[in-house]
This record gives sequence, structure tokens and C-alpha cells, in this order.
Amino acid sequence: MVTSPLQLLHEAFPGRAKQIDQILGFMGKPWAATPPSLLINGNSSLGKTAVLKATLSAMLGGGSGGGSNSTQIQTEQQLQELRRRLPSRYAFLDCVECHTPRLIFEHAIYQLRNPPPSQDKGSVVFPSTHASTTGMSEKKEAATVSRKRKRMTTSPLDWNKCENVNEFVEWCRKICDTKDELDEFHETHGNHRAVSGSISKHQNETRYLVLDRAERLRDTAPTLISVLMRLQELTGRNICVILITTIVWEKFRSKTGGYEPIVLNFPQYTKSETVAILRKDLPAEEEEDLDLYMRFVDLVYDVFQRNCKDLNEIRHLVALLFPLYIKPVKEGKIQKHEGLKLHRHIQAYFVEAMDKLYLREISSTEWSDRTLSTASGSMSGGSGSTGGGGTGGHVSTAPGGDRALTTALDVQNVFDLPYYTKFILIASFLASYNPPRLDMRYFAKVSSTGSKMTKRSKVAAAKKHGHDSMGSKLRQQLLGPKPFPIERMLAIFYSILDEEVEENVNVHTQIASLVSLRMLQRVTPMDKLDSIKCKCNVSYEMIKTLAKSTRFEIDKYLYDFS
Amino acid sequence: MSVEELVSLAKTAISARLAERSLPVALVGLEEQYKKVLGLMRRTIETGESNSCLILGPRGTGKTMLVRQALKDLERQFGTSYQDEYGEYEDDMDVDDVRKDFMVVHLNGLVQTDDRMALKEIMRQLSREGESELGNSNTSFSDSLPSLLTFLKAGTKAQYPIIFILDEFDLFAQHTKQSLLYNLFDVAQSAEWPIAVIGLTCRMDALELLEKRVKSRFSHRHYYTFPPGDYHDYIDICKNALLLTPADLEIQTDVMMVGTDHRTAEAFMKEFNQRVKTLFEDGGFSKVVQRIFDLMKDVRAFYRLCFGPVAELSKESPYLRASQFYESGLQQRVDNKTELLKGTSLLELSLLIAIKHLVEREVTSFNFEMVYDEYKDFMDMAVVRGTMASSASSLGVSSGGSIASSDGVSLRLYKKAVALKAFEHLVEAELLRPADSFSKGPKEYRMMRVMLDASQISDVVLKHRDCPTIVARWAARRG
Repeated sequence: MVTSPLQLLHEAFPGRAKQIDQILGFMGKPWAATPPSLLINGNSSLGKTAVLKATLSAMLGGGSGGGSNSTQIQTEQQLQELRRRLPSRYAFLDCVECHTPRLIFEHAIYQLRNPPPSQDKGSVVFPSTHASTTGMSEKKEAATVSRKRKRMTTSPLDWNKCENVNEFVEWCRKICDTKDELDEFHETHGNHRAVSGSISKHQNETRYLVLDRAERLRDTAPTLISVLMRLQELTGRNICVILITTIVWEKFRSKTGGYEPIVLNFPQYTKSETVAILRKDLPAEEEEDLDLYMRFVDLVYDVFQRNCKDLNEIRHLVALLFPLYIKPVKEGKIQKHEGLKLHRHIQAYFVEAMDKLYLREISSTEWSDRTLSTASGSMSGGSGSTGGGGTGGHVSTAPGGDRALTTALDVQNVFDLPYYTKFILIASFLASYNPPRLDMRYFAKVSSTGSKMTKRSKVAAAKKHGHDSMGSKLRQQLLGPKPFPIERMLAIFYSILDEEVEENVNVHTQIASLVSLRMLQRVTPMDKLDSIKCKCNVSYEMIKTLAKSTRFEIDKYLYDFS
Repeated sequence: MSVEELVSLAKTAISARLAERSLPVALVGLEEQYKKVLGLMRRTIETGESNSCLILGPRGTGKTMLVRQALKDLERQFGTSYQDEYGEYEDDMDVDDVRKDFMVVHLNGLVQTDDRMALKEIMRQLSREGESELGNSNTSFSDSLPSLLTFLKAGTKAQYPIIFILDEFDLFAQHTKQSLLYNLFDVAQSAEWPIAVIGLTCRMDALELLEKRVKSRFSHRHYYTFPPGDYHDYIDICKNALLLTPADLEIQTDVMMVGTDHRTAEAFMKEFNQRVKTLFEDGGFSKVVQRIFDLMKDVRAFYRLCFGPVAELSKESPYLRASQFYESGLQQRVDNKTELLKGTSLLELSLLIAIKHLVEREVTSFNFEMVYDEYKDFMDMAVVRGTMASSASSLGVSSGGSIASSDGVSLRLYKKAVALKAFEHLVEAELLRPADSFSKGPKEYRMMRVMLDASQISDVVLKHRDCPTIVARWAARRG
């Protein structure tokens, strides 16, 4: 029983059957007239690229098969053979790679003049295609491999120069006009009556030009999009341009307008579709755990779907957490059917993962290595203690003590500076965030107790200034650092430093090194040596840890911070 | 001929019309302009009169179609083998053997982006030998145009009238010194060589773009095309695109074709056209078309709508059905922005709501820190309320500061880093835009503007699949 390519495609992409049918509908017969341009849009990780690539390669890349009777199969096979050997009918370009018009043109020409990239016959693999968004290097590797393969089978045509639209249009005509065996094949076979028809007399097969991440096109050249939209009209040939993007068409429109593409929207996956996709991720060797896996997938979906719409992220989470989920089962601590126990066991990890959602501070292999080694012990379950009131108010502390995921804060803790440099940085932070008019109040070294504000009066002052008509949203803390003259910062520096600064501490060298570390940012141009102004480029959290390490109470000196 | 073949023929024919690859069956509402343009071209060909004109009109009103139709008719009249397909003819221009009464040079402002390129293209289209001899010469434009013309004169027996079609005329006017336009108009005015220069543009002020010396050489003839003003005209154009003609199905009156094939084809055509007519009488369908007409009067908008249903034609359902158009109409009309927003996560939605509140307080440009602060304020408040509720029901705050709100959904305050990632995603989707062109410094403090208005945000909150009531209430609150 031969399964048709269409069925294969539908199976490979759960929940995308309608879109695949639509695309195929627009494509029609290989030589049929197509819409001049299509725009496929939808949020990231909805399978836009993967679906299109698989559809094109199955239909035009020699991967197609099927047919109901034996003669059809035979002609199909002949067709496939031709497709694999002859110049490709489609070019698939990524606008990140092809960032200038010239690159786009030349890559398109190259791909259209050479056989389609090799692939396993008729197989459309979901994971690998989906993951291609992240694995740039992997892609490159595949490209070189396919190029190598091509070199072995047929000598590829030379790389052709094409610098402007004019030449590209010329090339398109040339490419579309070259009649090869495939076109002849269509003509010789009786079922392609349309070829001899009046309208499609000289029509060869339709060429497709697919541009992934098309939003980048807008940066390349102003008229390029208009050109591509009406490439069919300009060349007068059967050529269809397909754009894939995450943003809406309105953002593409140029000032003078132009031909509008047909918009095809890829909707969000539903729960059952997501689960079906995740089902495919289960490695074959763990097939016996399918029940458990599906239960786990269900759980992950329910916990995360609200906050994480990105399918790739959910897949990442499943891949990360599933080994942890089944670990106690494998060790024999918990039986498979004890769902509640397992649930409680994994909950702690969920909380942690939720905190790190999307961040991917460490690679997944690193993560699994660490968690599997450290978390072997106390997995007694139970929820962690309620947040310990950090900056965010609620810092979740997952049980088990030592944490698998290092935070960015840890990195900051490790970072160290010389003693005086720390004070310079603190002083510049204060200079950046405090209004200069309050410097007298905070830093003047007049008879100590009188002038320094008490905590209470400070709060009162903050109330008076901050909570007026604008609300408290225009506080300096939220607006970001302000530039300050170096002299002011130095004054603050000498004021907050209790002891006398030793002679040999070269403050200006330290400032220069902070600038080169990008912790201070120089606002005035480099050639101006007088009255230098700087900005403090360091976060509040980092300053707090710095201040703690020098036992300096920074909160006493900050105006209107929370 | 089987039904399948007939359907495939019909599909090809209609989609070729929809894609504007083949010309429409009839001109509707453009007869006047057509006559004038045709007359102008004909005079150039017959009497060697040089002329120039501009055809102005909004996009999709048939400027290019008009010219193509005129050229086709001229070709037919002067007995040359003009091909049906647009763009085919220039390659078939063999100067030496086929006698032609005129030549056509097609230029497009989008393709020929400077004068040198345009000149090369002219020479390529006029003759292949011309390209090899003149194409590589690096002389200036004004030198090579006369040399091109003299070359043509020397090479052939008579002066061929040349018709220059300049699509996207306004873009040619932006070339430096407008030397191409100057020379073309100059030749046209000085009557050295019979040429007709026809510019097509959608810019109504195209004439103002011309330099004084160029403008004075232009004949100041312009014709306007307008979108169909009458709903019936619009319907006629739409209907013409969908109705099948005998040629579409290869029904010929030849002796060869007479037979059962012929009859089935004719029957199919009749039935198909009948269905199309009833389609236009269908209430729901008319509503869809009327809506397009009211919104933009653009024929292409209707064509876009038709692609889907036409592509769906098959052996099983060989005729167009009104229900197909409802769906397709909905699909093309849907606000893709809200569609994209439906896929945002709760955190992103919360940030958007925070932005909405900021904007309502007339803080039009904001940075991440402000948004996060607003978001935090809300969450703090929600936590307080959540703990109060939980103290009563002893449920509530579970681990790690997530709050079980009344409808069983846990909210949690995300850390800044996670929220920043979400914020950046909004920027990537271009819902937020940097307020200033570039600014140094930490990205948290970069000022942004929102590209949605408050009502759109509340709309999204309402449409969002699983937005907890507490968040929805927050979104609805004012100020």
C-alpha cells in the first residue's frame, strides 16, 4: 500500500492539514497559473517554514510518490527521477542569510538552476525541520553536505553574478524559458492536456521563490518588496513568490502601494494538536513509556500553555523535564500508576522552570547533566517555602537546596572589582539616579546628624515629588541613568568614602577602565577632554551586591527608589 | 473530454485572469480612455506622428491592462504575431526577418532603477545585435540614445515606429537629471523618429515631478483611469473574470472538435456560467462583494478573494459555491494583528495591559522598567487580594508566589529577565516601536511607543482564549 505524499504531509504536521491543502490548492498542477504572491504569516513556531518546505519538496523536489494503479506509479517514478535530477522548481531563501538584494538574487538563481537539495525519499520529518530555526550551524552543515552531494552527481552550474533587479528579471525569464525533460514529459503524457491548450501554450512548470523571515526584506531595498510582489507581471512568466513572516502585511506596505499578496494565516495550535506534535518527540527507545509520556505532556501543557505559547519552548521543556519525571519510576521509588506522587515530585521543577521560562541561561545538555547528578537525593516533594521577599517580592525557592540552574545574579556575584573602584561605581550610580539638587542633603559633610534626612522624611519627600499627576512612573529609577559630570561623581565619591583616599589611587585610571568595561558610558565625544560626562550602565541589583560587599548602605542615599 | 480535464482547464483560465496574466474578456468603464490611447498609438504607427501621454490612476484600475489590450489589438490589426502572454513578445522581435510595423519597448521603474540600466534594456529589447555593439559602450546616456537611433536607421530599411511604455513613471522621474525622460520626450517633440511615449503612474502629481525642461517637452496629454464608480460596473468586472468563454475550454468550431467532447464541454461551460450568475445573486455573496466595493473599490481585492475558491475546484465539486466565498472572505478580511495577538502569552498580555494603563495616563513613550513597574503594582495588589481571599478559604498562595485566583488559574509575578524577554517579543512583532531612532545605554531604558490603541488592547483581552478574570478586570479598569 503506497501512501500518498499528501497523507504523509498531513501526518507529519498535525493540525496543519487545512493549510497544506490551501497551499497545494494555490499551487495546482505543476504548470498551472498561480497567484503572483502569497504571504504566510503567523506567530513563531507554528510550522510555517517547515510546512512550506516539506510541501514544496514533496511536490516538486522528487519526493512525491503514489498513484492508484501500476501505470501511474510508473510514470510517477519516472517523474520523481526527473525531478531529482533536473533543476529545482523552487528556491528557498532565508532573508537573514541573504541580507542584500544581490545575495537574494544570486542564491535564487543558483538554487533554480541546480537540482533540489537531497532528502530522504518521501519522508517528512517533523522534528528536524522544526528545529532548524535554532540550529544555524546544523543548517549550514546540511547545506555543505547537500552541496557536496551535488558535486558528486551532477556538476553544478557556476555561481552567476546578478547585481540588480533588471538582471534578475532577465534571469528569471531565462530560467523559466528553459524547457527541460520535465516539461517535455508533461507534454508527452496524455493526461496533461492543458499544456497544449491555448492559454498555456508555452507554459513551463511554475517556479517558486520562497523567502523566509521576509520582514527583513524591508531593510534591504525600498522597492524590492514591490518588485517581488509583481515578479510574475514583470517577467511575464509563471513564477510565484511566497513570503513567510511573523508580522502582519500592513507593515510591509510601501508608500506608493503595490500588488497585494494573498494572506494565509497560520493559527495557533490547539491542545490536541500540540499534544500530537509532542507525541512525535518521544524517542523510539522509550516507546514503552508512552502512557506515562502522554500523561506528562498533558501536564506540561496545562501548566505552561498559558504563559508559553511557543511550541519550541514547550518541546524544550518536555525534553528537559521528562527524564526527571520518569527518574523515580526507573529507580523504582514510585510506581507508574501513582500519578499524584509523580505530580508532586515534578511540581518543584515546574516552579523552577517557570521562573526561567524562555531564558535558556544554560544549554539543555548542561541542565540535564546537572539536575540528574544533583537532584538525586532529597526529592521528598512538597512545595517550597513562600517567597523570601527579594526585589521582585516573590522569589521562588525550589526545594532541594542547591540549584541546577545558575542565575544571572550569580554571575554578578562572582564579578569583582578593586575596593576603590567599587566606590567609584557606586558614586556614579548615585550621580546617575539622584537629582543634583538633593546632593546637598545626602552628601554634604556638615555637622553630621542635622542635615542628613531621616528615613521618614525621605519617604515624605518622595511622596511629594513622585506621586503627582503622572503617578510614580517618571521616577529616575524607571527612566534610566542620566548623564552626570565627572566632577559631581568625584565629589560624591569623596563624600561617601569615610577614610581619606590614598595618594597612589589613581582615580582617573579607574574611571577609564570602568568606561572600557562598559560599566560607565561616556556621553561626551572622546576627543573632548574637558568636562567629561558619563552615565552609569550598571543595574540596581548589581550595585546592591557591590554595596553589600563593601558594607555600604546604598539605600540610605538613593532618592525615590523602591 | 472528462469533467476533470474540463475543470482543470477552467481553473487554469480563471486563475490566469485572476493573476492578471491574461487579459479580461471585456473592458468595463474604460472604453473612452481605451479609444484615446489606441488612437494615439495608431497615429504613431500609421502616420509616424510622435506623441507622448501619461495615464494616471490609482492602483488596480487597469492602466497596464489598458495598454496591453491596446497593444494586442494593434498587433492584430497590423498582422504580427503578438503572443497572448504578457512579456513574451520582446524575445520574438527579430528585426531582420519578420516584418513589423512597429516595436514596443517595455520599461518598468521598479526594474530599471537607473538610466543606464534602462538604456541597456531598451537596446536589448530593440535588437539583439544592438546589445552586443552598443550595450557595452560606456558613453553617457545622451550620447548613446541618438547613436542607438542612428544605428537602427542604418540597419533597417525604414524607420520603425517605437512605442515606449514606461510603467511606474514616477520612479523614472526620480533618476538623476531625468535624462531618459528628457531624451525620449525630446525625440518625440522634435519628430526625428516616430515614437510614442506612454507613462503609467499611480501618482496623481507625477507631472509635478518633472523638471522644467522635461515638462516643456511633454505633450501634456493625460488620461485618467478610475476605479469603477458604479457598483454594477464593479460586479460586471468581477463576473467577467469568473465566467468561462469558449476559448477557455478550447471549444473550437473546427471540424476536428465536433463530437461528444465538444458537447460535454459546452454543457459544462453553460452550467458553470449559470452557477456563477446565481452566485452573484446570492445574498451572502453580494454582501461580501458589496463590502469590498464600499471599502476600496479595488478589483484586485475581489480577485484575491477568488483565488482560494477557484483553487478548490475539483472533479467532486466542479462549480463555484457561495459558501466557499464566505470563508475566503472572512479569511482575507480578518484583522491579522488581533489574530497574532491571540497567540500572545499571558505575560505578554499583562505587559500590554500595563502599557495601556500607561498610555491612558498620557505617558505615550515608555520603557521596559515603567511597564514592569506597572505590572508589578498590579501583581502586588493581586497578591494582597489573593492572600486575603486565601486566609478566608485557606487556599490561595501556593508555592513560589503564584496566586490561585478565583477561577482556579494561577498568576505569578515573573522575574524581570523573563518579562524582558516577553517585552522583546512584543518589539519583535512590531507591536512596540522605539521612540527615538537610536539610543545607547541599557535596553531596559529604551523609550518605546505602542503601535496599538487602547481599544485594540481591550479587544484582545476580550478575545484571548484564557485570560483570568482578575486580569480582564484590570484591563477594563481606567486610569
